[in-house]
Amino acid sequence: MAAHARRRGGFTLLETLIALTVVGLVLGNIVMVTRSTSDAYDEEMSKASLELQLDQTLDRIALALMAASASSLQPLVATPAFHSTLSYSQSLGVQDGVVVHGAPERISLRIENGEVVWIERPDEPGERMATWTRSVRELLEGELPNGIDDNHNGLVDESGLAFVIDAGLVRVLLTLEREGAGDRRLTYTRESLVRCRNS
Amino acid sequence: MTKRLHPLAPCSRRGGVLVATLVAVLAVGGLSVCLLELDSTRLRRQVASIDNKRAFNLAEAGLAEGRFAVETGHTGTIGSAAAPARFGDGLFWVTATEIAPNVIGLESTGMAGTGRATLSLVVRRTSRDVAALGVFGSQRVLLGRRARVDAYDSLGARGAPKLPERFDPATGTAVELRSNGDIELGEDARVFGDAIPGPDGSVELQDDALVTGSTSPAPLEAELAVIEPLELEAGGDLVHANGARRVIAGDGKAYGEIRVGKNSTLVLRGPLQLSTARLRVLDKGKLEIDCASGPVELHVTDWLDLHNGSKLAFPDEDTRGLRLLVSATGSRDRDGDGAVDPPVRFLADGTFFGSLYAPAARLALPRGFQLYGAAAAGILQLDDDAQVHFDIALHGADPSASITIEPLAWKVVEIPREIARDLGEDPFAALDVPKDELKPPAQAYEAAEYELEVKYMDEAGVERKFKGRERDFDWRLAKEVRKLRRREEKDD
Repeated sequence: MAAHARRRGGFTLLETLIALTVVGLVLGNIVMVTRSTSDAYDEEMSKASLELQLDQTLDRIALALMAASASSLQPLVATPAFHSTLSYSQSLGVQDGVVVHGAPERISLRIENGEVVWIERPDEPGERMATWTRSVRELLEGELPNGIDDNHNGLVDESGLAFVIDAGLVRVLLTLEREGAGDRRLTYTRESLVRCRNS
Repeated sequence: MTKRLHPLAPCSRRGGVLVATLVAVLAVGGLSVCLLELDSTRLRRQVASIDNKRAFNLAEAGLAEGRFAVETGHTGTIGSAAAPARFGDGLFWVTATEIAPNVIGLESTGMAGTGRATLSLVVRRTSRDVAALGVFGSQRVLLGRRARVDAYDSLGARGAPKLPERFDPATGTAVELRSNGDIELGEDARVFGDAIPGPDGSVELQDDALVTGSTSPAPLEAELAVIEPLELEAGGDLVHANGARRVIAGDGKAYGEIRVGKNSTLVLRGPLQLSTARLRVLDKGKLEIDCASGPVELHVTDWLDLHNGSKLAFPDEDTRGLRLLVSATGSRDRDGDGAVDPPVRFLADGTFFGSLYAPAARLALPRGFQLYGAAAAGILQLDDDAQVHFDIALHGADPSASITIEPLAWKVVEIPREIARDLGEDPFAALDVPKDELKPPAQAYEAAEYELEVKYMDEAGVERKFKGRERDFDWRLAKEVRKLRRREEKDD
């Protein structure tokens, strides 16, 4: 009886090996599935976050330009030229029958940092600055520095942030680019057409 | 009897697999919850972003609706926070405030889902009414020596007509003498109020000339209304030169020429609408306006020729009694005597009561002439000692005058505090208003009970008319308003 109990108290080597193999396979599968899911999730999150960042920046620029006075836009070079910097003044309201304008403002692309910055009172005492977004591409998506309109949008070698002015209408183009999962580069471009609400 | 599957397994190993499985399930479940939470956070941000855009668009729609409301003679207020206008799945309301005469601030708040947006637009309402221009010279205004421009209210505080003999420059109403160009004041000329040149114009004062108010330029040029021709039956020429008195009343006609000869008197008795290519009052001729029973509207399309020694008479001395609209333009020989004649020759004696509008002509009021009412011309000139007394009672006196709206300033403003606190997903619940009972925008205009007479162009470009209670008229049918007459309903 005692010998019989001892024989049944453990696993044979074969049983252990089989069990370990099965457990290994199961764990391996779980790790693989988890990793691939996690990678896919990270990538989707990166994409979504970049898209959100792009939308929010473009909304911010659009809102600023909507309240701008069309006659205050500088430089005022008509289409098809583009600018990576745009200065303007917003309308604050009417006082004594006269339209009152705010301090000069500027939206500018800093290519060296890949940043879009907003500056109030540029080059004046009391200048204020805020970074509206990073990860801006040097050139707009699909464009190469070759003097040709590679992306067929009517502009040649345009920068990652481009303003095109046409009689109170401002076309804004913006490309953001960031490292994605697995060394892949995520690139998104948006275009918005904004009408200055103030003359 | 329960049968043990592993009767000999040690007690310490019993349920081990179950525990391990539970731990694994809990771990995976926890991870899933985290991922779901992250995902839903991202989704919420995206939805919030979309809602904000929808709210912004609703607020813009509110501004457009408010602007249209002002254009069609309403206050501009649409709904309120307590009873907003329903628009799709969202809502908006517009609050209008008159921040200066004819300058209206519209503040529109839109709500959709969790999104809220408030926008502000300041507009200037410009009436096609001649009086809305004040005293006006489109190209320039020239005041001779001792000329005077002031303002008064002919209705007075108690509504009784009041002539400006008692005008006190210290306490009187300020006039607005305007031009799209320069304003020049000769020696001792007086403007009791503002002299407002055009955006690039200036005010030039000779010795001892005085402007009691501002001389700041206008931010924008004033727009001159086009004179719409009257649709009247043709009446040929009317030459009255028999030395008698002749009265024209009743249905108006479109004359080729009205000529009043020497010692003759022509009376135009209102209510009357007349049109003539030429209006000529010769030396010692007299043109009398009788507006005791109604106003007179007189259109002159080619030549207004009031000779030296001619006389204008206004027994009622009511500035609302005559609207003289002169669309004549360009100088040429009009009477065949070989000399060039200007479109307006105004050399009459007496005093003028009414509105005089000659947007394409030079109007020179002769020495010592007095005009009560309103005057607007291409070039407005007051010779020495001439006077213009602008009657502020003329503002809005012409209900048929159409209105144009000029946007001045647009901006994003802070959302009202009462809705900033509750960012729930249902804007109707946030405001505690029943969605199904809210009115669409066109029916949420600030209550107005008017008898309406409107001539408008519909979507197809067909001219149509409506006469009746304003609440019965659907403003969405009117693509362009051609003529508008509105008067308050009376309780009989």
